Amino acid sequence: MNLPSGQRPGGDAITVRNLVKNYRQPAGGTLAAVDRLQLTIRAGETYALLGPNGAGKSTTIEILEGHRRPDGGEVRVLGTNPWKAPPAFRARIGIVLQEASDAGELRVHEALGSLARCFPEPRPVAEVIAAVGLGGKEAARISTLSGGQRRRLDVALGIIGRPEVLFLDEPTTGFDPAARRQFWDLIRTLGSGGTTIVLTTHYLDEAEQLADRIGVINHGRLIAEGAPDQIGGSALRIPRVRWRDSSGFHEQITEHPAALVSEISGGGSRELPELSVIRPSLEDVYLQLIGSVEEAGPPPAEAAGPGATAAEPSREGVRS
Amino acid sequence: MTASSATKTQAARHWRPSALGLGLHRAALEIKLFNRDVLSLVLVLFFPILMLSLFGTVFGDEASIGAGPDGAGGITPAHYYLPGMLALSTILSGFQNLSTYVATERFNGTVKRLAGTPLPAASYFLGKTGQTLYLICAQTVLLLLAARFLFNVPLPSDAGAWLLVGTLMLLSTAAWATTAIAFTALPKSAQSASTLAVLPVLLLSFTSGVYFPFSQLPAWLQSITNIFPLRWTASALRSVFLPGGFEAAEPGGEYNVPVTFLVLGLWAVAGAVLARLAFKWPPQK
Repeated sequence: MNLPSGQRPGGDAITVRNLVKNYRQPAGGTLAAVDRLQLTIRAGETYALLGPNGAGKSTTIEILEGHRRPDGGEVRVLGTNPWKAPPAFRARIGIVLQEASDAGELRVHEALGSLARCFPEPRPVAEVIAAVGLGGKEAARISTLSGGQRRRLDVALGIIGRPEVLFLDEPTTGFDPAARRQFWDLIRTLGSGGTTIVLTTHYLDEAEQLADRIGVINHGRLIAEGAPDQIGGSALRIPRVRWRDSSGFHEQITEHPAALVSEISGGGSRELPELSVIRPSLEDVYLQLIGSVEEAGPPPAEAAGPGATAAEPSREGVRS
Repeated sequence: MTASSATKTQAARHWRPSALGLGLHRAALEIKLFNRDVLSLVLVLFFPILMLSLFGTVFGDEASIGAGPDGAGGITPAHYYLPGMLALSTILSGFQNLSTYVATERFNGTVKRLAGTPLPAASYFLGKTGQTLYLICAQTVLLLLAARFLFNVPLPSDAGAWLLVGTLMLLSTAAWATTAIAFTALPKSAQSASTLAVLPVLLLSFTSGVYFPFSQLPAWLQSITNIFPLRWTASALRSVFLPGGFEAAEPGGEYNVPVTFLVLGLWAVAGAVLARLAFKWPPQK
């Protein structure tokens, strides 16, 4: 684990120390959904939380938003403990909900205008509508929007208050590829404007495209952290050379792929069928990270209740 | 950091939204939203009028309901059922409509979204109060107009009677409304919320002297219904709208308006305390 240290004061938007959140399970016992989590997110950074379903991503983000009460540890978002924080704190954060179907009978501009009144320095409604690409839909009833338009409205509702920190929980689930790319542009624009962005996602390409840093959570703990092209360390990124010859298919992991290719091809004089040099993608690295934890067995027994690591909590099953 | 930006940061740290201003805005928005929800509008706003029309049509417009055993001093069915329908309005607006709305908003993300902004919980409830007030006032006025002009029901002419009607309608709705908010903590889904919300209305409307005379119920059922506000609201409203002599049909042969106020007041206060404990802002799943 490579947690950043020695951050200058004021440089961190979010700090989490030894965060613990337990859920009671229907069968009795408790599940440590978040288990002594350490996390630091710098101001202005776009940070992606990855992890399998039930790993504790949504629980963590909901605690950061102030929507859940932590059972232990210390949480600071913009220097404030988010649980039961005053309105002045809520004015500085923006939340894009994972699933929302509210306000269906309102028009787009009404929903945004109404929410804007809750904030001291809201963005102009027309500006936000244009930014999320909902121009022309101002007067549409929200219930008539398509899935992608609805999610963009959710983002619009999240940024209307000019937040310093924006939370996005699986923002592009159900998007078509074009809508996803437009959405990424929107997030990049917000990020380059200085907004600290925390997002959870199941899409590795999304994290790779957007995030300055990625944190991988499993069993409620941060198991790896780093820039998209560095996370997991060099050991998980050693290239593989694959080829076929008269004796069959070969795959070799090597730090020196060029030398190997040169060797097996007789210095380039012999073409080999199916020759390829593969550098592990973020997805490969991620799967190895998750897999290595599964193979290593459950975390220390005192951290979780009986049977807790095998079964995910049912209410978190589809949420992560 | 310059002095002015320091002041600005300091001001931002102590910024507070106006709970009243936002509450009034929420109320206007809730009313606008309610008017767009045609199904609820018809069901809640016009249901008592529909029922009154039904009674007026089925039982005719003869002065067939009398206070005495011989039917003397008879009044029309529409006249007899008007106080009951007014009482029914209070549980429809205060309980069924409000609890369905709030429970739906607990499950569809509204409460979660609003609780994630600086909006104070008080403003959310001010909005709900505004919507409920709008509903009960519209319901009452529409029902009285329908009774007077469609069914020729004679209405009281003295200000004291109307003051009592207004107070009873508001206090009854308030008692149901606070109970409704507490009640929304019970259902586990939006669907079960709307189903559960109908149950008390259905049971109580048949056992509180709204559809049948209260004194015709068995004593054990009366003593159960006596716990709930509806029976008392209906009785106190009959004291205003029905002519003299009808008090003979009440338990003990009198209307007992002071007990009505006591029961309504207790429900409003108990409901408010339970609502404060049960309603989570932000919601915790």
